[in-house]
Amino acid sequence: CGPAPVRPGMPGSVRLAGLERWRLEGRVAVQTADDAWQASLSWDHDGRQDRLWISGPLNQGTVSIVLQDDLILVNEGNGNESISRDPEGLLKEKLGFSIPLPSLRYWVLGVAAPGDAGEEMEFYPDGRLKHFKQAEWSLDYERYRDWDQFTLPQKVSIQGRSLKLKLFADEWTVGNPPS
Amino acid sequence: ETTPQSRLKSFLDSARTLQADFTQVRLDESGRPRQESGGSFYLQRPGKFRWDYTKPYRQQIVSSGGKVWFYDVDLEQVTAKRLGQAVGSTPALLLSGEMALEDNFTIEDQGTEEGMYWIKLVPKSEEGGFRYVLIGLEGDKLAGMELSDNFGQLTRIYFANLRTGITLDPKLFQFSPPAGVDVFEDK
Repeated sequence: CGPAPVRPGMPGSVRLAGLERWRLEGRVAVQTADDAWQASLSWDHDGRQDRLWISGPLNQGTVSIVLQDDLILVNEGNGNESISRDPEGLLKEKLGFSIPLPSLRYWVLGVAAPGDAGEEMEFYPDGRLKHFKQAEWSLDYERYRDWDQFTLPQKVSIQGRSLKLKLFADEWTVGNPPS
Repeated sequence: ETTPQSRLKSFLDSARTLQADFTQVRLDESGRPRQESGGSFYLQRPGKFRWDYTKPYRQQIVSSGGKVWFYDVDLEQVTAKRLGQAVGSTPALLLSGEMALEDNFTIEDQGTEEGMYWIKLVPKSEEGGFRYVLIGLEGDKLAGMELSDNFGQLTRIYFANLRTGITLDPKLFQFSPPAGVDVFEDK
């Protein structure tokens, strides 16, 4: 069979973090101080740009988010678009919670975001990250799964700032597998 | 001479209770199927419906007692919203008789396609979050639905093995959250 899966926490995880292109299809459960909801999530990462689609039941109430560097575009459909250089501010306004998307883009891969190091790192016996803290956020990886030659998180809980997100990945598609 | 209103009315009158298998397909902008899901749909007029998604993952949407309960098994979270606030519940509410159709929608004949007679319902109020709902009938049996979201992306639902006028277990419409999941209920 193919090369051994690259696992977060293993030497290959640098390659995981450096992946240029991937797509995540899954679902998210949101809990804030005053609201809670579930939605489906599509996330396309391509180099410096991230495109996210969040849809409610029966694909209603869809919101699209495009982030590139510090510029964010949130489109709620019916010509209702907002652009800002304060991504977290606009997310808070439109979705009712804010989370640093540039960090989240690493967390969903099962790796700490570059910059300040992760603390309290705990690993599964085979080297996959189980828990860590970074800035004011706490990450708990409940389940991993192999997709092609990559082992990626299938279920992760992210908590911080009176927010709890639970993310379940139904499908990971990694754009350019390691050469 | 049958009007879309009369066709719709005869379907709704004949379907006091309804059970069917459903397949839900989301189409991307160019009309290609992007995601498919499915399960069982139950309806008891007035006011009660249930979507039991069994593939590709398990979710339940249950309306009863003026609230809509959303449960995602993998995410272990249940949220219950009042009927008015429940995103995505309007299409099924249409069928459940909770909404007076004529007051809330303009009803138009959309002609026949895929062997179904389609009726288009356009919400009179803007904030419904969706542009229209199509209901497809084979005779006076529910065969399909089509919803367009606020981006014009289409979601089609096809019903099969439809049974009406049967007695449905009341427990189908009483949602009791399983132990250990996070539950958030609108007061």
